[in-house]
Amino acid sequence: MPIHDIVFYGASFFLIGVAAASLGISLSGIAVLTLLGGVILFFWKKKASIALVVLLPVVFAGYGYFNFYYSKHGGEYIVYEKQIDFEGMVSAEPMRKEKVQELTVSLYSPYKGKIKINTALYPVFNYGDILAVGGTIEESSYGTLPSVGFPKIKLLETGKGSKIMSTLFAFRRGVVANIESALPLEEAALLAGETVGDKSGFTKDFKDAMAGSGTSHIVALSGYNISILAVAVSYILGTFLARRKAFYVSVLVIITFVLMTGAEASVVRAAIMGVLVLLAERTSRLYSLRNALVLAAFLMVLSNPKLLAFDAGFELSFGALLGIVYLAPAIKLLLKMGKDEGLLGWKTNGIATVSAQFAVAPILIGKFGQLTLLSVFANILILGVVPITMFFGFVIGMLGFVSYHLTLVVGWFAWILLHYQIFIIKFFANIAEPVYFNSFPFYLATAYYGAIVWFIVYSKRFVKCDK
Amino acid sequence: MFVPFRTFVSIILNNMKKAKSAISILLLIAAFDVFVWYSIALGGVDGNLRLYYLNVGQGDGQLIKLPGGAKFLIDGGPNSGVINQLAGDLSNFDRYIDLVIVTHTDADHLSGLLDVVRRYKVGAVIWNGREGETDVWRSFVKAVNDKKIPVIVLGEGDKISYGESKLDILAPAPEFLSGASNEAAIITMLTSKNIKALFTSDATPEVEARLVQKYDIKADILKVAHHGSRFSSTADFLNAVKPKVSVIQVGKNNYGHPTAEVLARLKDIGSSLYRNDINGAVEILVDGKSAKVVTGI
Repeated sequence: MPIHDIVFYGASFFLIGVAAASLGISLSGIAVLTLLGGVILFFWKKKASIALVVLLPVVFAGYGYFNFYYSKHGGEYIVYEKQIDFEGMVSAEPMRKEKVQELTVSLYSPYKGKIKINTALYPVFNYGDILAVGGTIEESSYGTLPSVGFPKIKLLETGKGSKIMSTLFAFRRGVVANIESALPLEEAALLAGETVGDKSGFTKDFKDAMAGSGTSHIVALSGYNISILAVAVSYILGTFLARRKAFYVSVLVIITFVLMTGAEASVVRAAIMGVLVLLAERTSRLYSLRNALVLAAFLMVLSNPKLLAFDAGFELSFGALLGIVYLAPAIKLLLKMGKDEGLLGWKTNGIATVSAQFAVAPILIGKFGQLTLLSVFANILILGVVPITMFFGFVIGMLGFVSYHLTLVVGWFAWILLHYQIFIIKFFANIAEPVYFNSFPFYLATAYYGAIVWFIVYSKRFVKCDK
Repeated sequence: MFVPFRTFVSIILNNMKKAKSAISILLLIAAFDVFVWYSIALGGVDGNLRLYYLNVGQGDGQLIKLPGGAKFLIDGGPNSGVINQLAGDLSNFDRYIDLVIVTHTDADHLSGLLDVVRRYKVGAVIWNGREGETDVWRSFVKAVNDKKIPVIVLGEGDKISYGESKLDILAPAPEFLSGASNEAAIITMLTSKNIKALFTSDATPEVEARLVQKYDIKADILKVAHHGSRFSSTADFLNAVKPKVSVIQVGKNNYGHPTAEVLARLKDIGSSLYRNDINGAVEILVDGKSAKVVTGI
């Protein structure tokens, strides 16, 4: 078996093991399922059943890893629903909203774990601040941190976090400040979101409009934004650096960028993919998205096995990507679409959006109970201009450190693009009515995904029949 | 997917390589020219006076656009909402405010100004010289210093002139500076385009009494003191001002603002009344002959 297949199957079966452990399937359950699978395979493809025997230990490794991780990191100690005094460090860049700032705090002993603190906008807290807090910690639903609302906070020390992270966060704040002083409120918020994923400038109305038009992902630093960055950086560096150097510098730029934005699940996933794209370009090997996807998932689950079954963001971003990678080509085949991408790539963007929508629909319905159908059109109209907008965002963000007045000039160009996007976002938010669902049964989801897989597998075949 | 961006980058790079950069630069200059003329056309000389009583919720925030273009912002409300309001009232490319006046350091007047100094270029900050004791105040001082914005302390008797407009500072008198924070608030009278507008911040009855006694405070437009608190806007004071139009800056609150007492007193003097909580933002456009009130913007 070629090495890339070994990597692919190894990582996939490890993930299956983690999934089984997170769903609480017992070891004997896995044994029974494997045996069943093995028997079926034996009659279908003998070689495959042998491979299964070889890969079985990997499943158990995944299973074991999940439990090992739990025993090592599960040791949270937080006292809930009781007024307590505690200390901790602000361990991520605080999120500044319209009326509150949201701090992520790692607790110091005797307590252990992470909590969220909502506090007044001022004084401004930063990453690396050590706080003494008096308040009541409230439990929260799974996937979000326990929180404290407006406790008493005393700043004990500052600058205790990692020096690198402090510098990166400060740089990012600078970039956002430059953007904010060059453009009006909404335009600045959108640009800061698209370029460095900063969402502090968004008003609630505008956030709702983005959600309503299905365009929130353009400010979430999704795979789309990072791939644009990866391609652009390597392209620009490639014009004056040797290929090898350009590659290493690009990878460094992407890693730095991800750290700077706070390394959310979706950003990390996108960055891994971006690096793999560059790697594939460098080694001139055919870049297999299949391998990249599984490897990205593998690396992320290795860092936190809870992601796989419990993190909506993780599921949505991988679901969407799977849709774009597998479903989009199938749809293209069906529509007999050639290489023509349309003005600003609208056809490609449209099909990518439709595919992503199809792929994550059950997850969206299951977790949020609603679906916006018209979002496809909003995305077709917006996605094409996002790369150029991001370019202006970086220019303004950097230029601001040199000359305020120059940013105003560049800001004028950016304003046109941003204003256009805001218009589209608001327009579609107004006319797009989300469809609401009460529930989405498991068997229906299974059937739905079965149908999609069937469609992908057979798309090539019925296109041939057509001819 | 990346075609547009690649094309875009390659256009720039190729142009440079092929020594066609002259054309690109020419294009940029042309675009810049358009930008300059566009801003002049939009933000250019407006002969009218415009007063905006910004809808900042429970707090104060007034923007004055003087004939000739100077912009004064008096207070900034309790949060970043003021930026939203300013974005509607200033043209898209107007990133400059000539003067920011901090009447006093209470959060419902000050907090939003932190966002203003962060996002706008500010010519100078004017305050009463009385230090605040809150985190918001300390953050504001730091932000102003970081941005190297000039700071000027003004009080009773000072005056700001711009063209034919003038802004008289009627308070705080020195003896009120050490009192409660509201007593030390900066109070101003604007004279421009044949009208007078009085900005009272959170004036207390004591301050009002002094103003009645010491100055001719008759004005066409009144910003009602302290969000319509029953202690302020005494009958004596309102009779001395005799405003044709009154504006109460008030939002959702637990103080009962605006109080029935103040509403009744305003009715007694026959002033027409606008409220941010009911009318939204209030804009008054004065051309020298008449004044027009526009609400809900």
